[in-house]
Amino acid sequence: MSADLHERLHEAMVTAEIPSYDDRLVGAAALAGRRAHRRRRLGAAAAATAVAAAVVTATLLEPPAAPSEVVPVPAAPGPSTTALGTPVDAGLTVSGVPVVLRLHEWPDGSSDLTIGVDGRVPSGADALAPTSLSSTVAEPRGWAVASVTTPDLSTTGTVLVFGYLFESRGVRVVVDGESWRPGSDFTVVDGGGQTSPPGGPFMFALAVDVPALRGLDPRDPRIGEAVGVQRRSEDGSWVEVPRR
Amino acid sequence: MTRDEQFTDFASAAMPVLWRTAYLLTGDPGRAEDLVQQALLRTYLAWSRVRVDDATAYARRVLVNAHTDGWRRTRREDLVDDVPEPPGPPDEPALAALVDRETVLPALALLTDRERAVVVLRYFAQLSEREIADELGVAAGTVKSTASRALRRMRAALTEHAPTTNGGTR
Repeated sequence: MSADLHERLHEAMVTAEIPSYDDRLVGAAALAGRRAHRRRRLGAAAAATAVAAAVVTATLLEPPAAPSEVVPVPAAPGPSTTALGTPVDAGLTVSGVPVVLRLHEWPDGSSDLTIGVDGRVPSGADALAPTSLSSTVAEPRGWAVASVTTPDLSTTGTVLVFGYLFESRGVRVVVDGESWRPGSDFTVVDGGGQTSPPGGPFMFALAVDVPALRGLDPRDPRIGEAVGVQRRSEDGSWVEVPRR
Repeated sequence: MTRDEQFTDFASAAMPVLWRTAYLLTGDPGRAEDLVQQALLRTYLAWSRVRVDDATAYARRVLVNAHTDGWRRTRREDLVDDVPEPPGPPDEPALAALVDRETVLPALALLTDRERAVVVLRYFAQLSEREIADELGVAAGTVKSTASRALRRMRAALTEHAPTTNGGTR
């Protein structure tokens, strides 16, 4: 092998134009690692499952022109403490359908976020309850923000984001217009989503710790101004999802 | 510094090279993301036994193994009547004259998964043939012959698609 060819090949591969990577990978891997750690201790799902749940992906169409009615409601106090942690609920209604976001914080500091719709209690798994939402809401698109108000979480500034879209290619949370990257002053705690029922809307939930929002009233407009959601478009760029 | 802080520092620093390795191996952003994610996750889980100064090499090994596992599962053999490439060493000066940042990705895309892995590990990661053999779990002789075959195919492809002058093909 000539030194010239070696050098030319190396240089070509180092400088070849390739797509830029997504900073979410670092956070998602750390999140998946923490969850896999905890689940191993509990003897539950494998790491691969945690990875799949850590990055929210699916497929998506354009959001509609007509907004759905989304009305935040005061958060309910969480159920009693379990052996594994203290679930905390936040509620909202979407065109009259009650939605409950439940955040379990585990003793090791990791968290799981689940969604219950139409009176169903969120399960302990990441699965969403198949729901009357898709049949009740004529055009179930858009997203809403609810925040958790229980004393323990109000000290952490945890904001829960719930949304639903059609054919998502991926969604991500942004704070002040910026997605998470190393050094960001917020943390994506958990995220997950599912198309349910098949062919129905893609519903997702994200939990994000934003210290700057710590202690705010859940109806404070600064929450909605600070926290947003972006979806990946057909050309791979990220575009803002209208808030409803 | 906590485990998560250490890992985040490492992952942030290692991401560019891991991402480029994964993309060169696959040529597909989605598959590259999956590989990087797997590499980071397994590195995170093994963090307590990974030496910080060796963490990037560990993550790359995980990444390459995950890629190799993928193509081993899907590998198929197709028998053909004719040998696809003529024997003989690659024409190194000819290949050196043709390869650059514009042509290398299309040329890599024509290689088999194993050929591609050998070329990326040899010329991007700059591993020795012995190190590549260890990472891929094959004999050093296989690495050598695979690299030779891959370079021949790259040269053939680049020659075929080289810019023409006076209507002729170089």
